[in-house]
Amino acid sequence: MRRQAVILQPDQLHYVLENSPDPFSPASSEKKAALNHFEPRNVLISQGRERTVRRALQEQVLDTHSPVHRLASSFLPVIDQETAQLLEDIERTGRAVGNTLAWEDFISAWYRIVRRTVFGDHARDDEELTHMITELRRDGNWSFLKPPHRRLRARFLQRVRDSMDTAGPGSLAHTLRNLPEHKDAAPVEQIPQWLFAFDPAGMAAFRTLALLSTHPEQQARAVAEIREDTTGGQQLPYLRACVLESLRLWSTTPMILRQSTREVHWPDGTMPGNCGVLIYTPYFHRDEDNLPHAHAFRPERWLADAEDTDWPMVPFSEGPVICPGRQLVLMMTSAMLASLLENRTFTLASSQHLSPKALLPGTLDHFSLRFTIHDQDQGAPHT
Amino acid sequence: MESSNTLPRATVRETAAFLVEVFLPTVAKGPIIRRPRAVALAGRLGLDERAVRRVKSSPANTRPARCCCACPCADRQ
Repeated sequence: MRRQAVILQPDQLHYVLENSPDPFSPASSEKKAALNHFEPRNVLISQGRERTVRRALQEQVLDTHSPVHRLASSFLPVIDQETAQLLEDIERTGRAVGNTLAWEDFISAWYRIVRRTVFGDHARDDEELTHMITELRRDGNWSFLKPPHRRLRARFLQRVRDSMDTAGPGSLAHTLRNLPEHKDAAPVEQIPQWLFAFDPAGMAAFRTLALLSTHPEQQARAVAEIREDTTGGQQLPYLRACVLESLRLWSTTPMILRQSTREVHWPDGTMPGNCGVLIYTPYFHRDEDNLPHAHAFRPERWLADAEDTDWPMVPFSEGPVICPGRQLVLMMTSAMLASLLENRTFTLASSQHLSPKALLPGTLDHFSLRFTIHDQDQGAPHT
Repeated sequence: MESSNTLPRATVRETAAFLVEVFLPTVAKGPIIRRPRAVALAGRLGLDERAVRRVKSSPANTRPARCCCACPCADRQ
């Protein structure tokens, strides 16, 4: 039997996350089993010395502590090109039925951006790689209930290695390859986590587009920021706040998992070693008793100079195990939104009810979101 | 070292409610890759709203007093 604790108080949430990886290890049993399907030696399920080395590697390559990644000037043009291509493809094929942006179109373009960012331009159309990790992630959903597909995993990791070996300059894998080698680092197995985690980043970006297209005030502010931007999309604080707010409303990691490495003494009792710890983030993110306008889209809450509350909002977790790609994801998603909104407006065409006047729903099914696209000077679309 | 007291323990009923209303719907949506049908169903049935309500109404959650509830859970190792 493993005991399982559920965190219910803000101070305890902060305590657990600040005291990771020890005594609250991110390498919980179920997470190990889930990620073992495609990245058995990834930092997230490593411990001790190996974790330290792999974490350092991740932070170096992802430029964790910099709001603007050192390779921004390589990544941002890729985002512009792929977004332009996406819109052009839709407009070329969509004349008869109206220009509609659906999830499938969006995520295909986003994956092209991801492959170019991770490996360089030559990987742009390597959809096979994305299919392989998709299949392995489907197994990962079953965690320990399904045995790993060892042959597919080996083929996938070999393909990742080959792509890393040929990665072009200005890509993450190229940076990774050129770092001094360390015997415990397992560089190849740090890469699948990027391919994985950029998927929820795409979900967050697409949901942000849904929020902006239904909230005129926030949309106007975002468009003003895009028009006034002189950083080439590197610094778009309001759009980044919009993405953070989308992640607060609809967590892409609703369960943050830890596992105690030893006994931990709390004011009201002792937690045994090897105890699961679960933080269910929507409970904190949607608590209207403690978070003003918990069910509304208020990006400005992320821009406040001083935090007037220690109420947890942890879309990327926090503390020493915070998502090392947080800044990179915020830069890339905000840049993609800027590319989309620069000369177009989007109207939500699917049936989700999102409005500044109503409480936002607990679920936003990104798969079924659909937008009508029109030129900015064209006004509202004819429906 | 012998511990003198353990954390407040959830009852069997509370544990079952948590598993059914919070854990299972979240896992069904797909923790590693989302399952479209499960996500759509969660939206239609308001499962995410219900999960938040369930955690909020947890008896261990009498702010600001108690810490965690602990429930038995099979070790997966």
